[in-house]
Amino acid sequence: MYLNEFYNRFSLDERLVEVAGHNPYYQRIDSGLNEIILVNEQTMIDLASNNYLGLATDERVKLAAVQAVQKYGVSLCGTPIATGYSDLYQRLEGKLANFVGLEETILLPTCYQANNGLFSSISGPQDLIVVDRCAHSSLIQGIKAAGCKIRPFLHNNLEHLEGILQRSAGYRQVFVVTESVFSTEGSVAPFKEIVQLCENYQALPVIDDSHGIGVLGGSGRGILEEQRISRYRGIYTASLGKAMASSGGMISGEKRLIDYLKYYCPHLVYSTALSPAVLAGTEAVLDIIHSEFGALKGRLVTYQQEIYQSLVKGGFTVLPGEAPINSIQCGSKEATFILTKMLYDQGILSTPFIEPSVPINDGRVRLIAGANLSEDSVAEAAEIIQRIGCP
Amino acid sequence: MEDRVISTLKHILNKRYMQITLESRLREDLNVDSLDLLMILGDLEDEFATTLSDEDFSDVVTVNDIVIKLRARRIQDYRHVFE
Ligand SMILES: Cc1ncc(COP(=O)(O)O)c(C=O)c1O
Repeated sequence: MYLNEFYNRFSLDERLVEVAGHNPYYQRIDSGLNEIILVNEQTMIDLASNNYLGLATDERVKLAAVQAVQKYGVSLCGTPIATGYSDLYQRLEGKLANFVGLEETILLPTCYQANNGLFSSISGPQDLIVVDRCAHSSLIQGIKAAGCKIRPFLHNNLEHLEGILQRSAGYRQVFVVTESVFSTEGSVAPFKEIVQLCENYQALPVIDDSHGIGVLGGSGRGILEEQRISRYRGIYTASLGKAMASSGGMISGEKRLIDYLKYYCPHLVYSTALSPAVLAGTEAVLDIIHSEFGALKGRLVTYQQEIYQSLVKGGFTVLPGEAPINSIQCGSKEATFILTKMLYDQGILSTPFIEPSVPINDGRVRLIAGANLSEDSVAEAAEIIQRIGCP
Repeated sequence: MEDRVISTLKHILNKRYMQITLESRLREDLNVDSLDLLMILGDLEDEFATTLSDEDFSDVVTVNDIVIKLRARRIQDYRHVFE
């Protein structure tokens, strides 16, 4: 009996899927992120993945990963503090630190894990964390786990942030946490101003640049390059599973802090290190970014604008993203799912966001057209979007 | 006190709602989620120069419930005295 009661607590609410006639989540992908992808064995245009630069299936990246497997096998079966710390691992840490222009970097299996582990390692009940209201779940969960006082501020609202900082005396340390690109809507944080506010109020900035690394800045180095923030003394995290076309999470900053985390961040110390294929693949991606970023970014921006125009012509309410993202405002979760289904039925894979990923009744459908798509595919997607029109 | 609570809510939710009354239900009518609630409590702390624990406010349903909880904490509406 007690087992039934226990398991009954976990029944899912199927109503939304019934209303929309479609469940957009856990769709089975039967191919790599090629020009055309296979979803449930049907060909589709990928406007859903975070493969911004389109490097996930680049032949050079694949080759680097394959060669790493040949040399090291598939895993070193150890955490970084033990047998997981390969020469590949060490080299990539150095290259990534150099890439974003900070002293040192550590690599965790995912950025979710990095953001989860960071705050409980560096803050506690005597501290205050002020965080953008729209920050990613990994940041919010990580902050909650630290047991400190939390004060969210209105999204990208410097006035509200400053008001909070003005009244934040008496804490051991105040942190200000935000993202560079808010991926559900494509907005970019006024991070230079946030760093300045932090200096004024002696707070420590923490930026999650997951959707900025490999995308923002003249050479793809992310938010710090984009907003010309020099001598950044805060903390930087990013996912390597988006433009970096691989997987993993990085934390970068001053050597003293990173050295400390190497021993005191349990999410790093007690978790199996990234695998050789992933490390080598990321390194190859970095090399390609060094030599080809301009052309890749050019395509990304052109595609984003083309999709944007089609959305406007189709009568959609779309936020003009500062990042290469188009985010359609749908309102209710039902409307969000229904639009996702209409796109899906026409061969476009998109990403729906409903609460709690976004505020209640502020559903979005996100479209990202990666640089690996052909002009024809993007033109076809644009034509479909316009034809469907805002329901 | 009531006016100051409503005006704090309006500041946090301003883009979304113009009509906020004491009877408005936070979740159902104003779409307040847990982060919004933390933001509201933070701004009320500033407004009334006090500290509030979010656990104490986890069961509020309407705007008026917030007012009742604040009163129960003997939070004085000093401004009211001067008005
Ligand atoms: C802003 C942000 N931070 C962190 C993550 C988590 O990254 P990862 O997939 O590497 O765990 C994501 C990805 O969804 C993200 O968008």
